[in-house]
Amino acid sequence: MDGLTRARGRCAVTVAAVALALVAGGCRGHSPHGGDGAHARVPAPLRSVPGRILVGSVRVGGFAELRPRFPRGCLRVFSELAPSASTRVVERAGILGRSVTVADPHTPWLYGCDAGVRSPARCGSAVGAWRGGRLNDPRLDVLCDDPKGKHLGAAWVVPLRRTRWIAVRERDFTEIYPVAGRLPVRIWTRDGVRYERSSADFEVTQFAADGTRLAHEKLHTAVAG
Amino acid sequence: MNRTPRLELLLRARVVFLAAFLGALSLVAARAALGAFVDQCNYNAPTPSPYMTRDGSLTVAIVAMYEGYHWGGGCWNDNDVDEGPNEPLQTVSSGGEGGDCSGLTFKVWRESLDKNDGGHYQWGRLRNVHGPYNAAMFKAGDGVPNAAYSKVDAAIMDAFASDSHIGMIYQRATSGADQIVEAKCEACGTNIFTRTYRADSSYGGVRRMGWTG
Repeated sequence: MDGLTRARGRCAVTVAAVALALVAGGCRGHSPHGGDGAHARVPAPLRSVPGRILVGSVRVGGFAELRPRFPRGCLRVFSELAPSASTRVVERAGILGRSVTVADPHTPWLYGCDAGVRSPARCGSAVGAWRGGRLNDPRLDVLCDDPKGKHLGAAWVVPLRRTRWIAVRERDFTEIYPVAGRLPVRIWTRDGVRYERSSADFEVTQFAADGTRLAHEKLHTAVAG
Repeated sequence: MNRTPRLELLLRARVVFLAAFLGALSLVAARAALGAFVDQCNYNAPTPSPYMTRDGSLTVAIVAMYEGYHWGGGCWNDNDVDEGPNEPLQTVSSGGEGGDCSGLTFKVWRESLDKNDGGHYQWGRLRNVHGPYNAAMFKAGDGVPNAAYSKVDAAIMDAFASDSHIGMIYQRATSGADQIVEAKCEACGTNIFTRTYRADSSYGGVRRMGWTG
């Protein structure tokens, strides 16, 4: 093993450790884990992604398993949502924020709630028209703040058929979101928020299971509807 | 050789060409008008005001009537013409005139971009502002100025909101329907419509707090 390889190996271990520490620290007490697609370390096919990589965790389950305050308490505000046994729920705990995404085959709507990483309650919510694998709008929410009071933006991105991970580039790091539950992925940005314009830009890259880069775009979103 | 069919063909081709030319010309003119309008929209700061009356807000809403609908929009003038008709549905980036339902409500209710600020802010007509709330957020009473409210007691300039739409009461009717001022959709624009949101279980009442009259 030459020096460069050793250095890369050390770097990968460090990044994974930082990711684990940040996920565990940032989502203390409410980190969803287990279930399908749960990750807390950098997936091997993405280790070549440049810069600091951090990975949030994800849990897929049913409505009955949700904790009472967040997200279940939040979802109660959606009077048109009538959870059933076939309701699909994806809970995410990321570096910038937490979210829950809910879909039910009996309704054409996709419901979502957002919360800060350390906040016990929701800070925003979203409802989108979700039909045949298409979402009418990313449904940007800019009501959440980070612990330092900086505005955050949360929005859905619809993964491509082969997408396994979605990466969102921030100035200092890239956050990886595992695709789960065959639902749009709720992603976050802090650097891309233009609060005065109620809009946010996300630099999004979609990766296949083998690490192939499937798409890269600057997703422009705005609060609407 | 019969000349009449050839002449007819020639004439028909000229008519088709002329129609296509005029169509393209009107499209170019419409795009130019929209471009000129979008150039007027601004990001000026709002004017804080100690007052906010329901009648005053009604006037703000009436100015927005006939000015069109734009998904995620918040800029309009006062000429009763939609400068951006037939925009792509639910597309923010095309530029266009008018607010959407929640953008209209935000501006008419003279809200702050800061969700913790319950003060009153007059936004210019041409100020392109949507505000941080969508219909579901208004319905949930998100933001200090907004509160979920009893539909039975809802009065003029209170609103009814569902998870995907919000409209403000222009006039309360005894028949069970209300006159609602709202930005409804690209095709219907911004106007006053008779609606039965009060009796619709998917709608909740929302009140802007802090009216001074």
